[in-house]
Amino acid sequence: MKLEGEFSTTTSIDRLLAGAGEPGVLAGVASLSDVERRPDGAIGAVFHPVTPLGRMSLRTVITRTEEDRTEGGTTAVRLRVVGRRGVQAVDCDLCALLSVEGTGAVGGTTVRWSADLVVRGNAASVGQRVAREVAARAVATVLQEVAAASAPGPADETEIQR
Amino acid sequence: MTGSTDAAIEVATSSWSGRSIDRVEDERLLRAQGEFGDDTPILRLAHLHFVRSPYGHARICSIDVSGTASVPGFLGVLTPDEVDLLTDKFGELQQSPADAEVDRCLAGGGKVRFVGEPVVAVAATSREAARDAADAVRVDYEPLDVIVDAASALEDDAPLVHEAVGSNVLHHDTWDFGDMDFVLEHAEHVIEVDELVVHRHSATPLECSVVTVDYDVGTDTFDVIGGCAMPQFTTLMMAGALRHPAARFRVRSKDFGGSFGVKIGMYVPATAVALMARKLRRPVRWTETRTEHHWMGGHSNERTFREVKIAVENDGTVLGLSYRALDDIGAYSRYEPLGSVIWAQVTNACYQLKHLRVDFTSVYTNKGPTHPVRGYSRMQHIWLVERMMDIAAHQLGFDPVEFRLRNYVQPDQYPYTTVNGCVYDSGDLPASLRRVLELIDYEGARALQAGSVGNGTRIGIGIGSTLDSGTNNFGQARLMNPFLPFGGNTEGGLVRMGVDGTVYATTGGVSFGQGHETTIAQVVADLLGLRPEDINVQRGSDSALSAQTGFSGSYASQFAVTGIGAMINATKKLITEIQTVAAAILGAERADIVLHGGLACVAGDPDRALPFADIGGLVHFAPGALPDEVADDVGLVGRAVYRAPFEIPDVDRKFGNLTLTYATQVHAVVLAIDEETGETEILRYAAVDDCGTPINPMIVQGQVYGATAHGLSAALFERFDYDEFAQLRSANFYDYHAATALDLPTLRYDNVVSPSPFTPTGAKGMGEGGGGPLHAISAAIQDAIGTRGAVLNSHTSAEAVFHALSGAGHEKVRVLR
Repeated sequence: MKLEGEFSTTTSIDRLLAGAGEPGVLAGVASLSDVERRPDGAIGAVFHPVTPLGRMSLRTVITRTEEDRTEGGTTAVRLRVVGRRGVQAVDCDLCALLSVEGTGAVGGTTVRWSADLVVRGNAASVGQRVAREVAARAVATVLQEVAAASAPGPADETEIQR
Repeated sequence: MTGSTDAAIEVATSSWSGRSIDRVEDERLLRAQGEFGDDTPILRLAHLHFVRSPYGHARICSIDVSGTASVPGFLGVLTPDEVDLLTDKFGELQQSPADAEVDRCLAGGGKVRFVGEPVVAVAATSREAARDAADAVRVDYEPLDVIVDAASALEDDAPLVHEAVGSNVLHHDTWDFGDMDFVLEHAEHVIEVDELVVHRHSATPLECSVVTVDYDVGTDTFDVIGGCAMPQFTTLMMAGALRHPAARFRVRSKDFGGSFGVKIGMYVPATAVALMARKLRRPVRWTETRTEHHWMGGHSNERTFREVKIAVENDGTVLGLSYRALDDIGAYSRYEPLGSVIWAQVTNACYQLKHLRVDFTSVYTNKGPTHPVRGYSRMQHIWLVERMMDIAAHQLGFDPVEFRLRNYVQPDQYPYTTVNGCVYDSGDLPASLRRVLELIDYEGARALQAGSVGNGTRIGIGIGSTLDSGTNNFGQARLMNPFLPFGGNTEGGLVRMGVDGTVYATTGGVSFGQGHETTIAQVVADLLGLRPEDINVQRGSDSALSAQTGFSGSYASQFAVTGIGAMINATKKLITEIQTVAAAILGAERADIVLHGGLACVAGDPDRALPFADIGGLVHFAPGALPDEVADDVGLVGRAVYRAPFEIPDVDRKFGNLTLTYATQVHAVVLAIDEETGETEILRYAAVDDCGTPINPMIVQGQVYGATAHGLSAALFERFDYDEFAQLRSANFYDYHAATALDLPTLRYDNVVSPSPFTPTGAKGMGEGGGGPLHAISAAIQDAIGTRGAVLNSHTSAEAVFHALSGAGHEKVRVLR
């Protein structure tokens, strides 16, 4: 299924890119736990999206496959996300376009994302009526949480002001 | 015909046989006192759960089971590497190169080939603990491209399901009888249809598979308990895979909640359970969930028919049929490619066809494996023929009733030899059709149809004629692989008298709800002059009880012939021994001894009689009181087989009798279609069956009802729907609707009796049903639509009907002349 969304954040593109690849930052994301750097460089975490049956746990591997900065200031990032829970599996190819366009704030970022997502296993059957809605909300929520977690803290802001 | 020709013993069918006595089984089943696979209490039982693939096709990159040991209750784990070391691949029926297929109880060859394929097995002290431990297993996959379409599987660049095979073709062959080229060139009418499809669905047994295996280390024996539809076949497959002597397997079951063919394939998970039981040195049970059953428990044949042509004369005589068939058998062959020949049992369907040409290809895809589901391979062919008969009738302006009556095999033509040498034993299709039309008030239905024009509802009337071919000649397997050693068919039976004169009967057959205990009791009681309640029939099946033959089991609509035939032969042997003892004691000739009411009497002299209890007591406790020649020969055990009278078919010509009996069913339906939604409501439904001389008419009627319910459900609701990623979207009853009583119409029923001249009692096997409802529903919808659209898929959901109403399929049907 193809999903897409958009949101704006006060976090800068650079901080967003850095935070999204830093286990220490991702540990502060509400819907992630057990975040770790894997030997292959990918991020491993347990993802807890909200579903109609409550939160579920997906053991997830996040691999940044591409990062491309353009002269116009837009950065494209591609992530491959593989999630597992028993016989359920979710495979997601996520593309996020980060730009300063339309943020209206200094140092902010507009994030336009698109995802090509496949649900497998029992969830492809039982979840087929709700998978799109659940997945869209889950992706939007976790991206916004990552953006918030990547934002500078008070000490950082003081450093910036200096 | 079947063995004993002793003039002193006649098959008696005038007392209990032929009567609708209550089923022996029902007392315990209705009180929930049956013992099904999951009910048997076993000490130290471990539970097994499979880690299954979420991918339709993927390479297995790594398996990490390190997390399982910390799960409370965890006992052990089995991985594909262990299975590769400890087992050989399951035996295959097909020829090279497809026999290179590697089929094991866990995903073999380093990859998974369908969603739900078992990858790892985990055992624990409880079912819940086993699931938790399975959740702790980490499997990394590299997804591969999937094949979900049989036609795509044939393309040159198609991903290969089994690389070792070199293509996705399991089997290909052609069948050519008569002269279709001449017929197509000269027939007055030829109608062509591009494509028709029979959809994939489930046997939907009430009870999913349950397998318990206990390994006795002292005797090095596996005790396999669970619903097993073909015990000796299962034993051979497991023995070969486990490299374990077949003599050290015991396969048994008690009550059994349906199979309809799929539980012939239970040897696959049973092998994993056996390995775990031996590894853990404790009994292990696997209980299949409905989702697991839908993924892997066995699908019906999904068959596409292309380039279908039917040749018809001006007077409506159908001359012949030709088509290409493409069978999607899923990821593993299991019982296939037998389906590529089994359809040939019914080449003519119900009609006097003289010419037939079929090009048949079976292919692998990344879907669940097919098993021989109810009506296996024959139902698909008969559906096609019925569709073509109906389409031809509508296109050429014939009344579908008259069209069928003209072309049916007529009563005076039996025994009727088909284009490929099969012999239809008996029947009266015209009478069955006329009776079923009475049951639905055909004239009234036509008036209803005429009166509904323009009111938003379309009335359709459909006929579904079908055959239920029973008692296989396994020599037909040689038609697809001449190197297979199979030929003919037998079933075993054992009847004995105990120390107190009690009679015990054991069949090699396996009842999964058909009432075998009852029909056995009726037939044996008739022969022995007892009542059915006097016969103690073994519940379930047990390979240790010496009643089974290689082909023992429950499949192919045969028990009324083979199972009952074996019980008759076994009882005759016991009777001979009873008579021998009684004659010696009473001072009479054996031929003068008659059995009645538990006594062995001298005919015409009722004062000279010996109770069965005395006979049992003499043989078991006082053999010294018997003459030597009697004591040496008599053990009061009759063990016999029934051998169906077959020869090996002619492999070169693909000619010969492949099945012994042909029960018929004619179904008729009146339905209403909402033109705005395509929703279908069944207004009237009737079925007339002819299974020869019924042993228990009530049981026969019940089986017809069951087959009808299953067929209606398959036609209107049940379909295995795979998406483009080979994900099964109807993986359990949440998304796969199996009809309930609320969905079904009141069924009207009657029967015609055409005794089979080939069987011991005149009965024919009949449990599968032949898919009559699918044929009838398709025909009724076609009748409602007329020539505006075409019903070209056996799954007639509301959506499909709506599209057909809008003209879908019309472009695929052409009257060439």
